[in-house]
Amino acid sequence: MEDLKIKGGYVYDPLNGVDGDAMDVLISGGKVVEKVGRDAKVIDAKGKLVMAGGVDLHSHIAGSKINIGRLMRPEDHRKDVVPRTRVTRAGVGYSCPSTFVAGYRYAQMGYTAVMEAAMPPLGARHVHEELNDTPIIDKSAFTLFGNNHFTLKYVKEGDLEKLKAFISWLLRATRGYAVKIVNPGGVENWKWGKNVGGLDDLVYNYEVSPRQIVTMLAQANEELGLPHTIHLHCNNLGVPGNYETTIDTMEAVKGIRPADGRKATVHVVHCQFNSLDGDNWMNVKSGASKVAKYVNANEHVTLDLGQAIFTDTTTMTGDGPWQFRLWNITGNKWVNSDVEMEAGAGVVPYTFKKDNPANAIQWGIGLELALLIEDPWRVYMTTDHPNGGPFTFYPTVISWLMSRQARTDLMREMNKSVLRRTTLPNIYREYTFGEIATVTRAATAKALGLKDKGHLGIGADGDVSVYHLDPTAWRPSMYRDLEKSLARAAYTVKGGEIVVKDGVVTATPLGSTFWVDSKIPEKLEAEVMKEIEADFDKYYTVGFRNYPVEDAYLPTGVRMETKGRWAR
Amino acid sequence: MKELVLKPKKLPELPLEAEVITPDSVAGKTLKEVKALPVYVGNTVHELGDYFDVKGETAETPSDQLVAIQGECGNVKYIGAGMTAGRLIVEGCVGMHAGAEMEGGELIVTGSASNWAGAEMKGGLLRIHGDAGHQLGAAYRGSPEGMTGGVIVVGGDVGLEAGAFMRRGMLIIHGNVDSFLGVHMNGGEVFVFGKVARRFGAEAKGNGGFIACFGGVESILPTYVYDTTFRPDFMKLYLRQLRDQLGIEAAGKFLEASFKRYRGDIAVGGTAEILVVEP
Ligand SMILES: [Zn+2]
Repeated sequence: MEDLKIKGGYVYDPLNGVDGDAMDVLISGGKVVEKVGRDAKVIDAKGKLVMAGGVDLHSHIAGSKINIGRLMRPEDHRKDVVPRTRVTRAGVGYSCPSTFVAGYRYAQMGYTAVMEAAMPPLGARHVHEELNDTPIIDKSAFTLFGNNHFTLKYVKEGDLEKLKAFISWLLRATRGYAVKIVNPGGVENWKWGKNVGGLDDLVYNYEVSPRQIVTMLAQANEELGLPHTIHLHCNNLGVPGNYETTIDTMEAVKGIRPADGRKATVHVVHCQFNSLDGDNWMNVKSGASKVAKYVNANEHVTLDLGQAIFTDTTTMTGDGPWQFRLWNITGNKWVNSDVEMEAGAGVVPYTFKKDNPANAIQWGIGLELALLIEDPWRVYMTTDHPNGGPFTFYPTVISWLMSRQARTDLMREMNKSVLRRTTLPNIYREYTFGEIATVTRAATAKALGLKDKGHLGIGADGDVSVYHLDPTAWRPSMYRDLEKSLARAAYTVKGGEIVVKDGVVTATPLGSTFWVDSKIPEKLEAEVMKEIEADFDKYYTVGFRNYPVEDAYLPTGVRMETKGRWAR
Repeated sequence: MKELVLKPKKLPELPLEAEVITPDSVAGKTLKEVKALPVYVGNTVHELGDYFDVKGETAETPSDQLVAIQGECGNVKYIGAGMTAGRLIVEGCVGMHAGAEMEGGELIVTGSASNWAGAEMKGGLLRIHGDAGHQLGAAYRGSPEGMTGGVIVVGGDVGLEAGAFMRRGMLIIHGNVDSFLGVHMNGGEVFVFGKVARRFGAEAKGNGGFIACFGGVESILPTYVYDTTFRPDFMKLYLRQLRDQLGIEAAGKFLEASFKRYRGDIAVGGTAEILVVEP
């Protein structure tokens, strides 16, 4: 591959303290370097915005849930048909895009890495098959742990070392990257038609509480030194008044010693859905300022928005009981999915409407969180694609973050609840380009422990996005121009290769899939494997030996080895 | 009104997809431009002029445009799909999806229509003198709403799932109707002068919707409950309008009729009405 010189753009690289300086970015051998050859290909970025490739740490693009969404929503596809071109395949878009289209559309916006946020272990092969058909972007998948039989068993026994061994084994077996927890305990109780209502309710038959599950998984996660913290979808999602549960959950993992090199012990996902105040959907109001206040005072928490978008989308979570509740509220179609010993899920189409008071408040909450939390290194821009809305709306969300006028113009069209029951109208903060680079790239890559991503320092991956936008001339009143230019990157460079030019995909290399290989002490491994195998023989529909994902499923897998702290 | 005449030449063996045959896409164009409009055969793109002789005049706006197709088009799909204004007359049969998602204007088919005619129609008038296939005025698979407006009149018989997921609008059928008429319907009015086959109105929610049966029914779902026999004033008004405005002569015969009313589908807590004329 030829060397690349991205010349003279306004570069925003917050991890390296670069804030809009006009400079060159040089790439050779797929990495950012100090020097390139004389015959390097030159991209003229003069007067343009240059950032590292976008890194999305929470999205649903592969596996059984999104596939259920695809199956149950032909009407979603019908309105967004994507013809093939010379280099790209045909597909469909909108809220449940086909795999190829998901890869193309992320790249068209300048994103080069996307994490699939919920992988049921039994669906791991399917997830990786789909990730292999998702071109251009790098990816990883987070394995579901919060309601897994073995998690509950070892939490009940209070055996932290065995829990650590199990986590290490299951991450390896599923080629997973992080510990995902969805409504801990609640999804197991859903198998009995019930849920949990708070941190100290008990899980049937295991007699453990969500508090115990979360704290022990967080403890194990940090002792194992996994690259990312636990990735937590809290209890009581979508229940008015749930901000209390959210803060309680954050508080529960406060005392845990983080892994070396970071301060966080928990990442709370799509926090918009978990920052509701009030008693019911009639008097619901924003609890965002309370959550933000807690986060501002406590360094061990990171979160992402799950910003709501006013459009027709598809909700899909591992939170089976919540999806049932949403089906009851909406009467839309519903699919429930049960993953025997491990997890569950549900899918329900949903439309966020401007004239719906609750939806207007939800829209406000996401932005309040982003604007009230002072440290952009701890609050990340997502829509929890496709739960809050399709990821293709990221440029719109960024325009709301950067332009108060964009927010006000929209609030005029919305239900007045957003004015009365959120603090958004009184917030004047507008993100800078440096802060946008932080919440969409630098901070997400850092939170994920992807050291070569999210920045443009020497040795970083050659993933760069260039936009038709002059940040020195841009004003918040020009938010529509911002939206347009972020939606169609002037250039997206992936691993030193130009993959998008003027918003059109020009090349479709297959990105890497990262997975974590955490070494288990030999004796402990032998002991725990024996226990797991015994339960597999008794309860699983899959043989123990047929269970782990083979290497053939990860043709571009990248193993990340970690060595934890072990007591025995 | 300016008239544009399309005469089919030798049509391909595979279905021809011609959503460009609408007053909207020809108005304001020269004949040359009209002939160059894209049509599809399988995965290949052709020009309208390859399969049709194009003669006559085009109007400035769709509302002044009359398009007449003189010849059989049973294998041509999407004729009149999405049209918003003007008139489109087909002297013969049409293929699938005729008038699908149409929003306004008038589409007249002197022969029969295939499946999905008037699917997800939003407005306008679709008149089929012959028979209609399955899923007449229905929702496409997955959609929560089928017809949301407009009127469909069929002279002959109709296939399965007519008016599925109907939300608003009117369906008038002179002949017999196959099973699952008005399945999932949630509003809208259906008049059938022929015989209605089984399971009509299944999972209908109501919202003021009704299915009026003037030519007998095969059976009524057990999840519909009989409540009264009456002679509703609104029905008289409807029938008079159908006769006078749309020329439905059959309607005039039932001005004084009384009806048995059934409510359901109680399986989904619905309040839709089935009205069966008393002999
Ligand atoms: Zn999610």
